[in-house]
Amino acid sequence: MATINEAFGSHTALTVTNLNSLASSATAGWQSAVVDNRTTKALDYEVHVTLDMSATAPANDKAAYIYVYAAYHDGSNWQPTNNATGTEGTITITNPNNFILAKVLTYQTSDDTLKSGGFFISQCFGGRIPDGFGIVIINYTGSQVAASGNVVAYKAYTETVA
Amino acid sequence: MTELKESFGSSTAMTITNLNSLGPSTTTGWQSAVVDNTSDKAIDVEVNVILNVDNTPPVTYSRVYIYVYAGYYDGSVWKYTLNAAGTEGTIFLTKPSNFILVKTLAYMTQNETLKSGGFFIAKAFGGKMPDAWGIIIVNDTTGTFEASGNAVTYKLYKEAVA
Repeated sequence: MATINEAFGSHTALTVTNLNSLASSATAGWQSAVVDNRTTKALDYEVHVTLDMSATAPANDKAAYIYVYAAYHDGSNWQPTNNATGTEGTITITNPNNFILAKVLTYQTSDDTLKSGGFFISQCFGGRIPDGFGIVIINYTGSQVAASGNVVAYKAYTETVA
Repeated sequence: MTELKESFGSSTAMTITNLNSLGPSTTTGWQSAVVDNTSDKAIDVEVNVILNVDNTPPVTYSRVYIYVYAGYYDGSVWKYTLNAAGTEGTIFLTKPSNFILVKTLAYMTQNETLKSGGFFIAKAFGGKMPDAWGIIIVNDTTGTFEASGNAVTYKLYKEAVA
């Protein structure tokens, strides 16, 4: 009888140039580059986020919001959710918006480092992974993200049959 | 040892003749032609919706609602959810509707093109695909969809052991 086991790929860090030093805002956030799953064909992705906050007291929502955008590839072009571009940079969102909220990290202590632990992307898509996906982070903690020490990383998840 | 991975078919555009220029209404929407899965046997379907709203400002709760309908084949006749016809055209919905809501797109910015990114159908049916399925779109934005620039596309999803 065959056994199905988990199989994780290697740890891959996303570029976070515009996440570093991100100010607190309800609408101005960071977007990752699209993660293309058309070749990897992973069944899921485990993601981890670390946000190193500045030494400013919690205010506003005292929270960072981690959204996911989907990217559909029509054979020629990427079609990301709404105004996501598929390239790393800043993004302005509306409230409400059409991205999928995957995680909320509360900021309760000045100078705290927020760590998501691992969470999975497919939970946003009914258990599947679209052609591509990306991360959007809104920092509405009242504190600026530090200039370094921030990480958004993932591992591809497949299953082995042995 | 073999590995289980995603496997997508090619992108297929649905006919959207009656979606183009669809005016705002809470009860009159667009229905796609049915997609027969009895031969495809896909275990899920990734769908992408692009809606080009005209230059009308949004009001409170301006939304587009994306529903799915199921098609059941009894061996000789197709049975569709409620009053879905299985052919592309317009459809009358009650409010609230008994169709399954799979996606809501908020219309927040005047003249915006709404993009869903990829989303999946099977979650609407508890993780399985019925014999057939179709899409229903209700434009509750106050704006009218433009005569062009709209798209509803899909890819069949399977899993491969490699």
